[in-house]
Formats: sequence, C-alpha cells, structure tokens
Amino acid sequence: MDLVAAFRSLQPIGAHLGATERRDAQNAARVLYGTLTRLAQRELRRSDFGDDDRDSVVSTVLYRMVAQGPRGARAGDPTDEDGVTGWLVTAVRNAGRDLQRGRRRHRSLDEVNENGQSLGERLRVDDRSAEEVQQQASAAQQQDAALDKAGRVLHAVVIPRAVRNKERKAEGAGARLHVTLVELRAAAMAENDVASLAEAELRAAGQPFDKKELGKRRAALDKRFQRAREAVLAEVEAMREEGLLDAALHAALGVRIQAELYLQKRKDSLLAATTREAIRRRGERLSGGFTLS
Amino acid sequence: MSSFNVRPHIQPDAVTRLGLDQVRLGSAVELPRSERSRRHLGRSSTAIPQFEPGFEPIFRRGSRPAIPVGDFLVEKVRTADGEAWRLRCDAEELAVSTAGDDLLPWTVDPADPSIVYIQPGADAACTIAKPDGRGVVVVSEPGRGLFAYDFRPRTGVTAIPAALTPVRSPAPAWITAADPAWLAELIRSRAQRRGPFNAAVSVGIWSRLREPDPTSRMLALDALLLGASDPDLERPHAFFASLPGGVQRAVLEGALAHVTALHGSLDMLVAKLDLESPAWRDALLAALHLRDDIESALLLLRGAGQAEIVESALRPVDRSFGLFVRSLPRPLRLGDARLQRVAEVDHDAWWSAVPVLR
Repeated sequence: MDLVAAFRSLQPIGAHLGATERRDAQNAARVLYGTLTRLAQRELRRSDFGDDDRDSVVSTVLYRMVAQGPRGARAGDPTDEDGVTGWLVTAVRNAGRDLQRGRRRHRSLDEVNENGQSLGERLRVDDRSAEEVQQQASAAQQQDAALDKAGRVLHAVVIPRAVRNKERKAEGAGARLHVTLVELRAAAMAENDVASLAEAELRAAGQPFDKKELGKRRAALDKRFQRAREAVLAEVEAMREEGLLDAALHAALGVRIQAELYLQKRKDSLLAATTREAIRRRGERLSGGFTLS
Repeated sequence: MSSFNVRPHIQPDAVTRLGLDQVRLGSAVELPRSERSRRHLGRSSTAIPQFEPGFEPIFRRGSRPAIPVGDFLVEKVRTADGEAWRLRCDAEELAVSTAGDDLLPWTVDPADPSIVYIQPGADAACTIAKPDGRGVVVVSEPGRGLFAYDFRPRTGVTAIPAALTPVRSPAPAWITAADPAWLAELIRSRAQRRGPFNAAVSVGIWSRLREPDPTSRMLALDALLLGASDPDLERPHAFFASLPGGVQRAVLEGALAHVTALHGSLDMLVAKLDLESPAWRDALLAALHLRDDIESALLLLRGAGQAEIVESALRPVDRSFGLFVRSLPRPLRLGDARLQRVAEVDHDAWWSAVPVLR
C-alpha cells in the first residue's frame, strides 16, 4: 500500500467495517507507523529528544490520525507522496514542539535529566555532536536557498499572475493590486503596523487626529491589505493545483509571503522576522521584481 | 383557502414518504412571505444560527400574530440567518420529516422540544407530528407560495409513521468522560442540545479532540497494528451505526444545513470586515466553531460511508474560507482552547489557522 492510500485509508477498526476496509486500515497503520518512525528519527535528532520521546511523538501523531479517520476528501489535502510526507513532517514537528513545551512548563533550572545534568548546566554545555552541528548548518543552508527561490518565484511569477488576473476582471484593478502590494511589502519590511499607517495617512492628509477617522482609515487599510493577500494566496493555490509548485516550494512561498505581506504587531514569527532580516541584508529592492505585463 | 382534503402540490413520492396519504388533511393556511423583513435582518446578531431560543418575531406589535394551524401556532421569526418559521404546540416530543428537491433546514429549540424552527426551501415540504399522530405539514409550492396544512390520522392509530424522523436522539453518556475540563464542558453543553445533528457533533468532538493517556494510546495502536479494534476508537462509529436510518439522515441533513450557514457567514465576514470590532471577532469565532461542528459530524458520516454529499458541498466553501482566514493579518488573537486543540490534532484544518493564544 502506498503512502497516499495509507493516508486516506487509516481509520479505527470496528464492527462497522467490512473485511476489506479492516485489512486496509491495518495496512495503512503499518505503513504510516514505519514512515512516522523514520521521519521522527530524521526531524527530532536534537539531544533533548531521546528514543522514548520520538516513540511518544510517533504514537501521538498516529493516534490522532486514526481518531480523525477516515480522512475523506477535504479541499487542499495532499494528493501525492511528496505532499503526504510533508504533511507528516509537519505533524511530527508540531508534536515534538508540544512535547517540549509541556516539559518546559514543569522544568526548573535545577532539575536533572537522565544524564545527571541540571538544565542550568546543560545550557552552559554545548553537547551537540559535530555531526549534528554540520547537519543543522546544512539544513539552514538548504532553507536559505529554498527561501531565495521562493522569493524569486513570488515576485517574478505569483504576483504578476495575480495582478494580471485582477486586471482581466476589471480595468485598473490590477494596477491597484500592484500598488497595494508595494505598500504592504514596504510596511512589512519596515515593521510598521496598520495603526501607524493609518496615523501617517491622517497626517499626510493634513487632518487632525480624530479617533473615529483613524478607526475608519485603519479598517479601510485592513480590508485593502486583506484582499491583496487573498489574491496572492489564491494564485499560489491555483499554481499548486496546476502542479507548478512542489511541497517544499509551496512551504517556502508561505514563509516569504508571511514575511513580506503580513504586518506584525509583535515579532511572534521568528522565521518571518529572520527572513525579513535576510532580505534586508541582501539588499533586495522593494519595488523591483513585479511588473504589469 | 383550499377546501378540506385538497392535497398540497408536491411530488407523489414525497407525499408517500411523508405519510400524507395516510392522514386526513385540513384546510390550507397561507403563510405570508414578509417583503419588508429584509430591512430588519442582520442587525447586530452576527452569531451563526443555531436557532437559539429567544428569537424575535418579525411582526411588530399590531401586525399579524401567530397563525393557528391545527394544534400548532406558527409565526415568523428573525434569526441571524434570515427568516424562519417557528412552530409550537403542547407536545413533549415531535417527529420531523422533510421531502423535496431543496434543502429544508430545521431544528428543535434546544430549550423546548415542543418548538421547531424551519426555513422553507423553494421546493420542499416538511411535516411535524405529535405522538398522537396529529401534526402540520408546511409546503413551499413554486409559483404559489407557502402553505401549512394540519393533519390527523385517518383511523385511531396514534403511532408515528416510520417515515418520520424522531427528533430526540440523546447523545450517549460515555462522551461526558473527557479531559481536560474545558473539553468535558464543551461536550456536555453540546450534548444537551436536542436533535440528531447536535448528538453527532458531541460524539465527534469527543472522538477528535480528546487526548487519552499514553498507555491507552499505545494499547489502541497495538490493537490497530494487529488488525483488532479498540473500544474507545470504535465507540463513536458503533454509536452512529446503531442509529435508525432516519436519524442518520437527519444528521446528514443537519450537516448540509450548516454548510449553507457557513457560506452565509463567509459572505457576512468579508462584507463587514472590521478586525477591531468585538462583534466581528465573535462572528468569526462562531464561524470557525461551526466548521468544526461540521467536521465532528463528518467523522461519523465518513465512517458510515455517507459523507460524500457533505464533502462535495463543503469543498468550495473550504477553499474560499481557507483563503480568507489565511489572508487575515496576524496575530488575530481569539484565545480559544477548542481551536487551539484542533490545531494540535488536525494541523491543516483552515479553521484552526487563525492564531490563538498559546
């Protein structure tokens, strides 16, 4: 049974199932158990994950999948092995992160781990192996390369497509979308938020500070930016459905879009913040890259 | 006014299905369509219609009172989803059945089982019957209007015809055992709402969102890998399989009705986008919960191989709503434990993608 079939067939076994469905469910569990075990080994190699932790993550993810099963046919579900693997990787990472979070809530600096080291000591000791460091560096390089590529695709392909589609629907709409995206990107890179932009608009219009007017301008900006983002996201989904984006590029595009087209009130997305920093370091221009054609 | 025993103009198979050929029909009462009602809609109530009690009659003082039809009083009310008809009588239990090409959402008032709300479709009929066999049929006749007929048994037989769907389908008691406390409370409050759909939702929530202890989890997975069943994992599907066909159908119809409501919610949220407005955020949260309710009912429908029609109806709204939610600026802190849990167990569920307090 292949991974996609396993993903779709996994469900609880019971009297409500026929013999074929029972067999499929059992096979699906075996296939996914093996895949999850392998992925957990790969994704959770850090020293704060022991074998027991990885087993716990695998059983957590698999149980959750069974309890929700059968999967059905939801819009946006992965349809190929790449997509299912990506889905499973996300589930493993999330479960691993939740396991760590649960621990941190209960841990104090003086508690010792199974090696007799207190957390305080471990924070001072870099006990990662050279191989782990190398692997992490290599993964970081790959991530940078993926984000670079996603940036090029976003500005050279996705946004122009979105702009052209808008223009086809209504004259001038494409140009307005283009302008909004330029403004939005500039604001995101400058770490502005909507409230500041609304204030700046009021000042530029020479209007006195009026709470009601400020609220109106803020709401109008929110709406305009939300529609612009929706147009870009719709284009990404359309390209994914056309088979133009693989799972890795789709994920990297998501990160670029979050970094460049969402205004953060706080830096609660580390990846988006570091992506913005990387963009600034490389001196990527604000206005280049997307054109109406 | 039609004379006594004139049949409503609905399809013969629907007449049979609703058991109308077995009863004596009373006079037709036309239920007026309120042309002015649109101006009263969409006031501040942006909650997703669960037909909560306390909806206001549309008719103002001095205009039409409730209309008596047989043993029922029928009046038009305003809900967040538009107009609905409220039918009430002195029965403790009612049986509802629908027929026709259009969807006909209906639900029982969670606080009072003698009250039923319906939203007549363009070509649909609905019967509501008391245990003594007397009841009312509401028929939407294209080109003619909306009519209600009272009916009574032809003979002294008081049993409810098999075609009718029992309204009460209590959720099983075992779903109240859940951790943590917020989940137990959520399940309990859903289980208290009457109707097959709500019972299915409470069972689905129990199955999807609970987290068993590690030992139970390992035992369940060991059983699955060996091709055996686990009692807790099997229980929700066994519950659904044990329901009569009419009740299962009521769950499916309820799910479809809520998909329709979801479409309406999206339209409203897009049109009235205001991220700082507490009412708008409440409406968004209610819509996300509604989608999760549908997913909970779908768990049971999928297990029974009856989900296709609901999934087909859901696909377009999932696409559109998913895009809309992902396009919202972040963070949009809603602080909801239920959605946070959904994000943990179903990470690509778009309705959990709105950032929540962690």
